[in-house]
Amino acid sequence: MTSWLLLAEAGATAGSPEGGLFDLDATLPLMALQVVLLTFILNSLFFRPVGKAVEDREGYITTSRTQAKEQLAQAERLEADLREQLRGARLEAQKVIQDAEQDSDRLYREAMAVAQADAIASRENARSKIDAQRAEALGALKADADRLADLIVARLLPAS
Amino acid sequence: MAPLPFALPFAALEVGQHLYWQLGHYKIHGQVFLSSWVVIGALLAVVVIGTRRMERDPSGVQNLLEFLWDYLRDIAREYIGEKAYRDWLPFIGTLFLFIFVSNWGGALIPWKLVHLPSGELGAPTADINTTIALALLVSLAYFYAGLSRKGFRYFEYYVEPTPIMLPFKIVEDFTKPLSLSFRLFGNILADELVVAVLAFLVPLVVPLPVMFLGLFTSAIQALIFATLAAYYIGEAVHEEHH
Amino acid sequence: MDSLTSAASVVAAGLAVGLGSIGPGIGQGSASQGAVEGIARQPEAEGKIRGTLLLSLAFMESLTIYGLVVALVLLFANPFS
Repeated sequence: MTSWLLLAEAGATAGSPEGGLFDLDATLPLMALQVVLLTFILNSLFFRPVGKAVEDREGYITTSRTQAKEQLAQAERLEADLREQLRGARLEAQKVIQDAEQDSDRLYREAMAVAQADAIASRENARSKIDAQRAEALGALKADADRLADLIVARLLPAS
Repeated sequence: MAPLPFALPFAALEVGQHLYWQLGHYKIHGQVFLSSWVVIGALLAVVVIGTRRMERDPSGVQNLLEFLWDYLRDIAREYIGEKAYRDWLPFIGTLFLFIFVSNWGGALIPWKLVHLPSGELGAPTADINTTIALALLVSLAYFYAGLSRKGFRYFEYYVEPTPIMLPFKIVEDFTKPLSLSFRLFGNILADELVVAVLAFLVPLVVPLPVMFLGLFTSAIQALIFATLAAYYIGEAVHEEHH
Repeated sequence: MDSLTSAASVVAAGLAVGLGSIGPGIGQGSASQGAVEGIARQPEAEGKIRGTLLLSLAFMESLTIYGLVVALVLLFANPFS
């Protein structure tokens, strides 16, 4: 502390009569001028270009964001569309499958019926044939038996 | 009161001594201008390097500049208001950058390596002339802002809630630059003095934490000066909602 | 500067800094207390609270600095010397 005082005293007395901590002089307006000049220089070199760059980027980001949002909405719309189509196609395919199944079922059933009818018809046919033959055979047998009975009667009666 | 017997060659205290330059009839403090030119040169160099090739994807120095721009814009917008901050952003930003670079330059650049015939180099803001110049600029700025935006209706601000406030508001116009300049000057000078005294007593290691504290205080002081300037301007351009 | 004036100046400088730091010290303490309570109650508002705290601390700090400036005036630019 003492040395400071001494130094200050020395500065005040030994050198020029001015000096000290609170020495206001032409430094003040010149420094103000310098700062004003610096403000203008920095405005044209720093604040304006950088502000322009930042705002351009903000604008770019906003527009690309809206673009991306639009594209996203479009993609979503397309996806919904495709999904709708897919569901329709799936329904259609199911219907086609069902139809085909029904068709094949029907065909099968028809063929079955035809075959059954055929079988029944041929069986009936065969049975009627057999019946006819049997009746024929029975008729023949009866005639034979009659002839034989007549023969037997003829043989036995003359002898009596 | 004899000087200390063990005067160390690298830690002498010089307070209140200036390198005088004669300019016509006037004297100016040469060391303040020398160090302020270094500060302005550094600022301009960084700005020129950073804005030489502006790209949409920033890299390197451009990143730093855009960060600074954003930071300063936030300060200006918060305190001046959405409508007028664009006009005053360069002023607020220049104040902040100049004070900040001055303070940190004063603390970080080894000025002692340069020998001057008288006085010593240091932060330009440790000289009362610089801080008063800056504070008066702020005063002019807020008067200009208020008058240019509102015309003579600006003076309604002095009687705004009640006319009783008139003397207080007039006194405020004088205390604003006073407190602005003395706050900055005192803080920076106090930092330098504390570091100098500590280095005077213990030249090694011990001053380091105080130096870091000084860096912190310097940054805060730059922020406060810019914030207060923005606040005063914002107060002047603020429209009362009748 | 006679020895009485310099002695009085040094004493006054010490008092200016010492007394001038009492009030801001108390004020900074209570401001920090409020900020810490605020952060504890609302940790998500920490950034805003910290900014405001730093600013108000610096305002209080400047009161101390005025005392220091007075001390510096007494030591280095004594009007009575």
